[in-house]
Order: sequence, then C-alpha cells, then structure tokens
Amino acid sequence: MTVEATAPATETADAFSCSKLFVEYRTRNKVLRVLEDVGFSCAQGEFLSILGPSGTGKTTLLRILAGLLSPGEGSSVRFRGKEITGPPAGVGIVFQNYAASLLQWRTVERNVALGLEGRTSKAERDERVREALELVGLADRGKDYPWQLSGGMQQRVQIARSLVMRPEVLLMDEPFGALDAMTKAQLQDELLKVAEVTGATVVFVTHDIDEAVYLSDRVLVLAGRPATVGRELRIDLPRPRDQVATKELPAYLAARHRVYEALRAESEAGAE
Amino acid sequence: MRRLIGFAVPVAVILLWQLVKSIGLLPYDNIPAPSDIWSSTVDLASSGELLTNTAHTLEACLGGWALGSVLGLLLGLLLGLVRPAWTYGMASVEVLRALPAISFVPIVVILLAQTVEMEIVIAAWVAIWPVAISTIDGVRGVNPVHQDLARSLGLSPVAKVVKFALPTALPKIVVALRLSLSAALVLAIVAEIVGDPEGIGYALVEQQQSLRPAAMFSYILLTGVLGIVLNFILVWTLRFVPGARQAARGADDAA
Repeated sequence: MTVEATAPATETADAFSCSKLFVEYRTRNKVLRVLEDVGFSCAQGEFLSILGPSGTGKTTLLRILAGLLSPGEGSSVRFRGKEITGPPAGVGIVFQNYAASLLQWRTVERNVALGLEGRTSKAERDERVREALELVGLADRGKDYPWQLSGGMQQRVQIARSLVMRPEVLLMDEPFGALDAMTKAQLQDELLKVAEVTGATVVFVTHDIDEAVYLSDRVLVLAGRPATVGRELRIDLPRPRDQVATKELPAYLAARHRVYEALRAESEAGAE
Repeated sequence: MRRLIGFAVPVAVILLWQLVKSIGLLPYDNIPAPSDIWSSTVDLASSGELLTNTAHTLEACLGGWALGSVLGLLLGLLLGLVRPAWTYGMASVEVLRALPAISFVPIVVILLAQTVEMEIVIAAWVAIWPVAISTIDGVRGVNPVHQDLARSLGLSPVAKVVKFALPTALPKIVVALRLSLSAALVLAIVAEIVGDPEGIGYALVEQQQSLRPAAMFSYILLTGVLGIVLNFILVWTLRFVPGARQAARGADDAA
C-alpha cells in the first residue's frame, strides 16, 4: 500500500503563500492601491519569477515577502506556514542597486561577513565567508573594496552576502537589471548553479521576459493598476539550462511566446 | 611643483613689505618690518616664553576640542537616533548653537574664574556644535537600502549604529572635527585675551600694552602656524582610521 501525500502536507511545504494580499500607499490627499488581491504560493526549492512592467509593484511585493513592508489589513502572507510579521530568519535579499547596498567602507570579505558578526566564532565566520565567495567566483577578491570591482562582481558580493547566511530563500529584486548583456548571462548561469548547489528557493523579480523564462520553474505575470497576478505560467524546460542550447529549444521559444502574450494581454487589460 | 609656486606669493609679499618699510614708505611706526618680527620671534623663543605660552594655549584648545567633540558626538547620537530626543531637543540645539560662543566668555569667567578650566569649557562649547550637527545629519542619512538590509539581517539596534550609522556619518564627522579644532583654537585665545592671564592670547595683550608690535606679530604668526600644524596632524592621524581616510582627503579637496 502506498501512502500518497495529501494536499495539506504539500501546503505546509510551501516557502511562501499569500492570498488576498493588497497594499495601499497613503499620499496627502488620496489612497493609492498598488497591489490588489494577489494570491500565489511558492514551493520550496522552486525558482519563481515575478514578471511585470516597471512600476507595477514588483519590488513592493518582494519587500512584503522579505517582511520589510506590511501589507494591508486582512492580507495573508505566510513563510513556511507562518504569518510574516517581520523579516523572517532564513530569507536573504539581494537588492537591485548593488552600489547602494554594499558597505563601501568595508572590504568584500567584511561585506559578506556582515550578517555573521557576533553570531558565530571567527573561525566559522572566516570559513563561511570563504565558501560563499568561492561559490560566486570571488575567492581571490576578498581583500578588495567594492569600488575596486566591476558592477557584475559587486552584484556577486551581494549574492555572497546572502548566501553566507545559508538562506532557505533568496529574494532578488531585478538583480541583473543594471548589468551589460554578457555579464548578465554569466551571472544568470552562476545563479542557477548556486540555486542548485544550495537548494535554495529563489523569488526573482524582473521585467526581462527572456531572463524570467530562462531561469524559472514558474513565472507570475504581475500587471494592471492596481496590479494583480494575471497569469501563472509553468516553464517546463530541462535543467541544467544553457544559454545557447536551452534558448534554441522549441519549448523555450514556445514558453517565451506564452509569457510574452500573457504580458501583452495583461497590460492591454490593465489599460482598458 | 605647483604647491611650491604657491609659496612664491607670500615670499614676494614679505620682501615687498620689508622693502617698503626700509625705504620709509610705510607711515605707521607700529607696523614692524619682517626683519624686526623675525628677531623678536627668536628672542621670545630663546627666552622660553613662546614655548610656555604655546603649551598653555594648546592645552586649553586641545582639551576643549576633545571634550567638546566627545560631547558633540554623544549629543549627536542621542538626537539623531532617539526620536523623542530629536523632537524635544532639536529646537534647543538650534538656539544654543546660534548664540555666538564668544558671548559666553564673560559669564564663564565669572563662573570658573581665571583658570585653564574656564578656557577649556569655552573651547569645548564651540567644538560641540559642528560635531553634534554633523553626527545628527550623518546617522540620519543611512540610505534606505542599508536600512532594509540591516532589518533583513535582523541586526540589533546597537549593531545598526556601529555598522551603519557611524560609518555613514564618519565623513561628515571628520569635516566637523576639523572645523571645531580651528574654532576651539580661536576661542581658547579669546578666553586668554579676556579672562585667563596666560597663554598666547594674554601674551598678545601684554605685548600690546608694552607697545611691542614686533612681538605681537610674532604671536599672530604663531597662531597661524599652530592652526596649520594642528590641522595637518589631525588629517595625518585620520589616515589610520579606517573609512576616515577618504573623508579626510575629500575635506581637503573641498577646503
């Protein structure tokens, strides 16, 4: 006799689940609703992209998942089954603006060590920092200052700073948006490798369709004003993915097509 | 090389001054020739008077500056980081720092008599404000991404101050330390002119009353040299403070 996993059991295995999520910003004379009735879940180990045009509230959504922003009254946002009330342990965040996010007065090593200071022994800290830097290919740049590194390298430092905390989830806010195409492709592959090695769940915000399709297991299209999850598309492409081979697959082109259509349909619906 | 060329101007001015004085074109008897100033400086230095007075003024200036800087830093942290302190305290700070420090000299002389402590208090008073204001500005200027980062890493309030607020404020504090050092020197000398009969300030008055303008110019030059040397030492010391190095250099460029 086989025991089948029941629905509630898989529910608690979700990294994130939200329902009826909305966010309002109060300005001087009106209330601006940014997100409305957002509902989705993200399984553990999943690579989930949140795709949408600029200004749809993707960053807002990510900050809510990070526990940095409270959603409106009555929204439900859970991390591993527990309502989020503040930044949950085990959730790392990588910001879009690496220059603003890194501590310019600290070396690469000490930037990465930031979250471990006072929490582990020095020996363990050094070891974990070394591991994290190795994982992002910066093992030999630990003593440099952020301004001595290229943009791509600085973004890697930020990723290492999250990885050193051994997060279950990486929240990434358009992390490669400011990088040139070649660096971007390289970092995408490194991120896939990191996600595979660490088994971390990744929630990845982007406005780049190709990036979302190439990286993800699933893409949520966020659109409208106020924005909501318009479509949810599963990307069934084999892993490991490859910048050339994967992107030549008919399935890739089909997925890209579907996502593009979804985005267009949603923004047209939003415009009406 | 450019810097050396810059020295040509003061040298030329001194030579011209000497020339004008020697051929009697300068009608004021109480403006001495550079050569007279030089010989009086040598006299004052060899008698040991110069050194004694310098030491006294330095004690007052550096003591006041150190005290004021520490108090300014603490005050700045309190006002910058504790919301109610800012709400209730900021108006008072604005009023107090707007009052010219010099106007406090007579009252402090009454309170503490003619002592070096009186000088220190006055120099400290003037040193507090730039440091306090810069610290407030600095610690409140932690960028939003860093604030998010600190929260997401679950850092304690103390860790947030040490790892984010203070390093962010450091460049501004460094500039303030330099400003308050020159201000402390000025106020120490003023306190000596008005109150404490010791140090460079009093020496200036003394030489004036005995109608020795050359010696007065010696002391005026000395205060200038002191200002330059103190600033140089401070900037040089800051090179060894992590994070302050660029700030010190940046302030130099701005100055």
